[in-house]
Amino acid sequence: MEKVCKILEQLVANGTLSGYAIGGATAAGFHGEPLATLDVDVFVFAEPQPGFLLVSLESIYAELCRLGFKEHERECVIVHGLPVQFIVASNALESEALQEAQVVRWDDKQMRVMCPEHLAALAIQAGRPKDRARVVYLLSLTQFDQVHFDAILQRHGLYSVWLRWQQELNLGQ
Amino acid sequence: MLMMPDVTNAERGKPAWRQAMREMPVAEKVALLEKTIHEAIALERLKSKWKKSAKSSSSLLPTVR
Repeated sequence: MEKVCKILEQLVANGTLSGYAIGGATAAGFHGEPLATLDVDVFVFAEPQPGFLLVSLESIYAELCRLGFKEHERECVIVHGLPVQFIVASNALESEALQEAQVVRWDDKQMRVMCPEHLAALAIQAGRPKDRARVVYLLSLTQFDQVHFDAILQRHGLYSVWLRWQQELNLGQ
Repeated sequence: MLMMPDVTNAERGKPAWRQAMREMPVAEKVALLEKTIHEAIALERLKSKWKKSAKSSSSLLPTVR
């Protein structure tokens, strides 16, 4: 994981990535307890090439290939033995979560991780059954900022969804 | 569930364990995250193997008409 973070920082330093943020279960696990996950979700910014409509991750894959990471498994690139899935930030919430990611530093290393409040908002946006459990878990974190969370939900039109989830999950307000 | 050899099943998930997880230094947490992923992948492969084994076993059973 440490080596994956080093590679991600290297991709930013050499201009392959304009930014990244670790999200998903890995990020959620970082803020609290490790959660079972099969890969590292890395959110990135990417724009379509001029004249094209679709966004391509080709430049990222090409650079990883140049660095020696040629193995793929399903939608992931294997980086230092870990499956890494690159996800293009495709809406305002994902972009905001990426931009406002926390920079975590230790020794001479660093990585960018989405904050718990954005992770919870993204879970509400995704709306899968496992996302409900994810939100309950994130809310239980002592560092979870309810005010920040509410503001994110209001900004991205998810507050009414959250109110419904609170009722369905029998969560106190 | 993370398999930590020094924590029993009874302790895992309890408030003290959760607190220890949350207060873990970053370097250790990062290493733990990697271990979690590897364990999850190993479990997934095991599940897949069991499913294949179950399918091949069931094909030997006589069909009820």
